[in-house]
Amino acid sequence: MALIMNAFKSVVRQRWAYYFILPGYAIFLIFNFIPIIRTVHLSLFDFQLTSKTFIGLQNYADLFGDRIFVASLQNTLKYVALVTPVSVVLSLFIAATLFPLGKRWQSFLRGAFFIPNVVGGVIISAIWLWIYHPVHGFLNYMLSGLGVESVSWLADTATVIPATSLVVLTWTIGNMVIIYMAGLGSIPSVVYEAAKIDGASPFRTFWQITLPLLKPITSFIVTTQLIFCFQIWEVVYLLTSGGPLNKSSTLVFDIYKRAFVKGEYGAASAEGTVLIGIITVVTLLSLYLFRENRRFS
Amino acid sequence: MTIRFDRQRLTRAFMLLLVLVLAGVFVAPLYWMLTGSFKKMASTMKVPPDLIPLQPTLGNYAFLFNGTFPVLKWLLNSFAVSALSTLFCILVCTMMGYAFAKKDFPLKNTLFFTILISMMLPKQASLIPLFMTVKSMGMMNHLMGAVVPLIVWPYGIFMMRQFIGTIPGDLLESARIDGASEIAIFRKVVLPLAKPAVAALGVIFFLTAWNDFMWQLIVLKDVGKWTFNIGISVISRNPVANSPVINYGLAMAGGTLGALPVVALFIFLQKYFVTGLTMGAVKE
Repeated sequence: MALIMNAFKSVVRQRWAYYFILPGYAIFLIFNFIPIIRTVHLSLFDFQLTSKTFIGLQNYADLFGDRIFVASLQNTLKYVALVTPVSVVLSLFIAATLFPLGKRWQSFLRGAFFIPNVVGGVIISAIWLWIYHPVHGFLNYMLSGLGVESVSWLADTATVIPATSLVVLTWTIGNMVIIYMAGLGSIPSVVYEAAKIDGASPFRTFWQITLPLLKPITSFIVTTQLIFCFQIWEVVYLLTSGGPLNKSSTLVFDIYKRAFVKGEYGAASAEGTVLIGIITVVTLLSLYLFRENRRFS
Repeated sequence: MTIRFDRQRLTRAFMLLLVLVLAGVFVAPLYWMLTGSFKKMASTMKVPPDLIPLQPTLGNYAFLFNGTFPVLKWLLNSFAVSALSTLFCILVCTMMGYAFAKKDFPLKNTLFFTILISMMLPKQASLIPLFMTVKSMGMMNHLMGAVVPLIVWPYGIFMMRQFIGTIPGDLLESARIDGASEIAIFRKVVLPLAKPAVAALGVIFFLTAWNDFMWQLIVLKDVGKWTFNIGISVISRNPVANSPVINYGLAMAGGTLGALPVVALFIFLQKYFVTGLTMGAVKE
């Protein structure tokens, strides 16, 4: 009883903390948190425009038998496997190369890489849609100058994923370059001086000193990139509409189609739940792999 | 000694060259967009394509403004959605960041943890219930429907908590001793000191809201209510205005128009972008 009284007194004493938090938290609950729980709940229903009946796990069974869903899942995994490592490595490479440059060049080139991010996926995709055009696209023109045959980048099942991945890369790398450059800047220069005194080559310095020191940032970047790549859909919607033959359809794109084009809200919720599950597992795995091993000598 | 030194320089030079080429790949499409916006439709379909528009025309821009599409309204809508949500976001995130950083209260860690978790969970997966909620609140096809779900940005709360945490508690204590009310402390001590973080948050969130394509696509149904990105997505993928094929020149003009405000924002406020992006990620 005393415990409850104490808790109550604590709440009243700290009531201003709650005043500051509650408005935002209420919105958070309504628009961020509860929808996620409701998605899982809705996945147990056959929910269309006019009807809503409880069917348990039937949606999931149907999903895994649906070849479009399976294709979307496979493609999403391909995107993640392709874009995450390439984007992280490339942005680290770019950041490391830009870092020793003078302030002006750093700013300028860093800006160059970030501009596609600023302009946004929609406009960037619109440009690439034209660049990738099989007949009057700039890419094929450039390749024909090198003697390579025209490729139908977005209509050929072999090239569609790399082609759309390239668009995604130009769109997201800038963000990571900025973060990595800040991370490099946060390493105290005494560390490098000590390394130089010990006679370490730049290569070794990078691998054995810089990289480990960047681990927390890399953890953040890899985790956020993974989460981002599992949700790739904009470029698909704008460039390929999932084609050709569903070879570029991703989970989120399929969720969008299922819900807002076909009106199968229950099935889409089930798919959303699957996505939530996958991302949760992957995030936890990533955080686990990058966990800090504290060693005290 | 000299050989190793030269090899290092060579490697560095090679790396720099590679980065410059990559930078070209990133920037070239924007050049292509700008020049394409001045090309007549026939020019956009030329093979080989003109690197510089040989017969530049303002026709695409004229078309954008001739009333077929409410382009100015689109720009206004994008701006309204972004500005409003940024305003609310700053308010909410600063308030919550302050409470989490400077106050101790029951359930503090649990509440913060739930917010942290939601950062991991994909908004895209919970579209349907969100859609249903917004609909039941009568915010469908309305500006606020696009704004409200964005407001509570976990990254923003995280950022403000981190920054406000660096404000010395003594300042707040002495204000309290002087008899200032909680609201006064927040307005007169916390907010002014948090200005750099607020600026950074505002800038990157504005961009986030501006490019929040999916939700805007779902909520805003009338052509007149579309944000600019929705409009561009339609023009760039469909033949418009009795043209038998997609008019890339028109799409590029639209793209250029839409890119101008955000690029200008970036060029003038680059430092705030960098602060905002790194504050949550890099521990100083």
